[in-house]
Amino acid sequence: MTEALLGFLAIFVLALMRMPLAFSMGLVGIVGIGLTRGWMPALASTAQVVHETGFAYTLSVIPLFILMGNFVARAGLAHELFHAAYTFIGHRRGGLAHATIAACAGFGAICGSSIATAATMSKVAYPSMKKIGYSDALSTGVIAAGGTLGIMIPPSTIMVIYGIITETHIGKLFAAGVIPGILTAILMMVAVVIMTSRDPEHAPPGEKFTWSQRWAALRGIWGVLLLVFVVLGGIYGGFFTATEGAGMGAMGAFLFALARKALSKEVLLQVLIESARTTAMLFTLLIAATIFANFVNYTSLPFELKDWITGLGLSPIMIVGAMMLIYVLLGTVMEELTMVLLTIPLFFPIVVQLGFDPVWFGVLIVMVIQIGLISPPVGMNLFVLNTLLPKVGLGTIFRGVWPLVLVLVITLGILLAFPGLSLWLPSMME
Amino acid sequence: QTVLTVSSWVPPTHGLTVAQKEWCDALTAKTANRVRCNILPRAVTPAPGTFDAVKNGLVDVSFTVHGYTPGRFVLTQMAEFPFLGDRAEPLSVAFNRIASKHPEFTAEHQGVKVLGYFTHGPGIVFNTKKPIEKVEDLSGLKFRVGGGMVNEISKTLDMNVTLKPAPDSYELLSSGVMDGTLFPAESTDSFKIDKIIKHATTFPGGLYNTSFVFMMNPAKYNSLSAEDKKAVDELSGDAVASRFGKSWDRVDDLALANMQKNGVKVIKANNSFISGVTVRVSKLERDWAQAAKAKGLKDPSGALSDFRAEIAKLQKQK
Amino acid sequence: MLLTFLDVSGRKLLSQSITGSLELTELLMVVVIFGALPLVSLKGEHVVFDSLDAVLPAWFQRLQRALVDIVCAALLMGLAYLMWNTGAEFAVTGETTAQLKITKAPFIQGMGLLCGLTALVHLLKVFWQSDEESAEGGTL
Ligand code: NA
Ligand code: NA
Repeated sequence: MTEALLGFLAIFVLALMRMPLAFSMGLVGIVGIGLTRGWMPALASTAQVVHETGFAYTLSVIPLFILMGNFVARAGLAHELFHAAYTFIGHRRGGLAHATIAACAGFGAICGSSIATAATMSKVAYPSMKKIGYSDALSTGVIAAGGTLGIMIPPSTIMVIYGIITETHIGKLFAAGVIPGILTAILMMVAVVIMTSRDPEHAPPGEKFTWSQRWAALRGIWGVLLLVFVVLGGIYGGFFTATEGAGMGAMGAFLFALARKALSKEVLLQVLIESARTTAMLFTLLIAATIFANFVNYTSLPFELKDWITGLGLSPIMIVGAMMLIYVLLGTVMEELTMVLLTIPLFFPIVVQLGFDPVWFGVLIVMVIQIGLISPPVGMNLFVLNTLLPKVGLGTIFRGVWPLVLVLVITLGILLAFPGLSLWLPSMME
Repeated sequence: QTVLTVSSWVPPTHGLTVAQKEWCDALTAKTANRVRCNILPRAVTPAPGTFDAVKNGLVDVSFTVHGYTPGRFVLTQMAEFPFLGDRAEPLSVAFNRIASKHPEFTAEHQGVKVLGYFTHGPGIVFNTKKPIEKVEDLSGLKFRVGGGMVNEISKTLDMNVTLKPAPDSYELLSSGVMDGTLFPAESTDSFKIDKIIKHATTFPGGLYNTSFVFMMNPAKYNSLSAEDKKAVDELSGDAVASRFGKSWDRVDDLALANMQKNGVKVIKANNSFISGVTVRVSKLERDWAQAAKAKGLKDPSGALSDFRAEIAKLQKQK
Repeated sequence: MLLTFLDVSGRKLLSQSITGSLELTELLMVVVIFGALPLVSLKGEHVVFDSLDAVLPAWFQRLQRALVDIVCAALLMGLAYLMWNTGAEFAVTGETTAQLKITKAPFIQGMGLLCGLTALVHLLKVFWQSDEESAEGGTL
């Protein structure tokens, strides 16, 4: 047990010294195995993990979903989504904020990344809101929070990563995210209603559209619907596996971007290289996390930690609740992928031992990541908006987003209390 | 006290993990607690890396499927031909005897100490669509197969196959991406496809089989005292084959009973089906003999017929 | 290079299973991951815990980054050597992919070479530090 805890400590220290997380975990894992099991096995296992991770077919979902997200972001599909939502509810008070959340949810169904969703929406929705006089705080807050729907509503890169490191069925994880995703969107809209009723001058109504304009706008989103239909319909309809679905999605998104003439040779190359870089970065992390997990596997930590926690006399749901509290607090200051990769090897076995469904825990993990992404002071979505909209200060964004952080925390509580919300859809797959 | 680190890449309740645990317990008892096993909470590597994991000392004891590392093992494919035997135990013991008689088999396992060879039960054709009664029926459906000789067998039978690991079966079959899979009976339970399968076609002696090896890190073995080495030796060879074979037979029986309960329609392949397969796979035996010769085995065909004779002898004893 | 990914998936739609498409995907993935690794290091895109940056003086950060890059370079060099040797072992045992019988050894040795190249990138960064460390995008 001591060895493993020292290992965790060493990773934290190295990470604090600004050593890339992947290198910290890999180094500690190798040294750990070397000291507990011998240096020959340590080197051999490292080589084995590196080449097996590279050659793992199931992992090809990661580059393919990343590629799909990048093509979708270029294809301009987000604009139609936003426009359609705008024509329906834009004329109400706070209507554009609602439209933004709805468009984020729709975009989330074709893009697996929260940051990409927020970044795309900032280009599409922010200018419209600015034009009719929305406050910067409200508009950026809504975009940042809405963007997080990208990882709850399938497809989702974080669910793929969780599925891989915990060996949980990715198709079921995707299905499990649908209802929580929609629920989150609805609760965000409720929050917007409350916020805009308190100070309506921050969210003046937009123009009103006729029904024929609305139907025309609705017809414009056929591209998004088609992609959703092909990828998710294909996976659940039995035409292909999640891995192949990712390939089809990437292909479809590519064709859209091509048809929209959004792809010059330079842009295409840029998208490909960008996707490859993200993939390489993620795989370095996955490889390092596996090496470290191998080290933990040799130690007595998993058994002893379980004994310790069960000895506390807490009820199982309270234990998970405590984990979530730790995550929400850590998430305010930590980068979320780091947080999850570090803690999953520790928490996941306990959750399974307590008899909880790994799919449900996966949804909770996605939710705490969503919270972390927008909770100040360290929130990636907030930073992305700050970078893309340099005229809006971080302080303004913080001010706009905190009520929505609260909404997400409430949603987390609801998902914790009612596992059926996550597990009903995947149970239909049996 | 010496501690052997042990790993299994199938679930803790699987027959293989159980057999391995029993082997450990037997060793602890035999050495009067001088040697015991530390069974890791999860596999030290996915299945294909297990051979190297034992070789390099990541774990001290484990088992693997030869076919998971294509190109490395040729001789052991002997135990994967069609129609070899109906029960895993006699088949495993016969396999272990023949393989131990020829040093070339050990030579293929350079870097590990072989504790014993074994196989699973007879290979069966499962599918979710229609009864399969003749050779031609096989080519109409999409099947998942694992690696090794079964891959070659299915190709010569003109089956539309895709190579995927066994744990993917549930997703592939439940989503309808594949129509069927080739498995021993037991695997329908352990990979949870027992409720999806509608039809099964069995063959006397099995359509195929899979060869396994149970092995130990040689440095660890050499570090044992003479007395403890002897204890390991006494639990090796035929004892391993018999132990693991018996374990497969037990779970196969359970799975067959479960199939009956779930209303799976089981067809026994008739004579013309069997002879149809025999004709087509005879080429594979010749190819294997040639490849085995290239790997140093002097009389492959002789070894194969010795193997068949040994199986027949052992099955009669039962 | 990723375009070939699309090619494979596209063909899959037309004729359900192409022999070995799975293996080609795996080999391509190895090429993509390790091919892009030097770029990731060059652009400083690895996930880094940088929350302390705000409170640390500039000279300290400069020193810190140089040290980190040296450690990373050493690690990658070791990994490169390790993968090169592993590849050589694969060449001896002759392990291939299951269906297309493609030898794995050159791919594993290629991993080694690219890790070595990445190590060089980190070494270069010890001397030429760029202030423009991009935040990781697209992941979460
Ligand atoms: Na999504
Ligand atoms: Na945060």
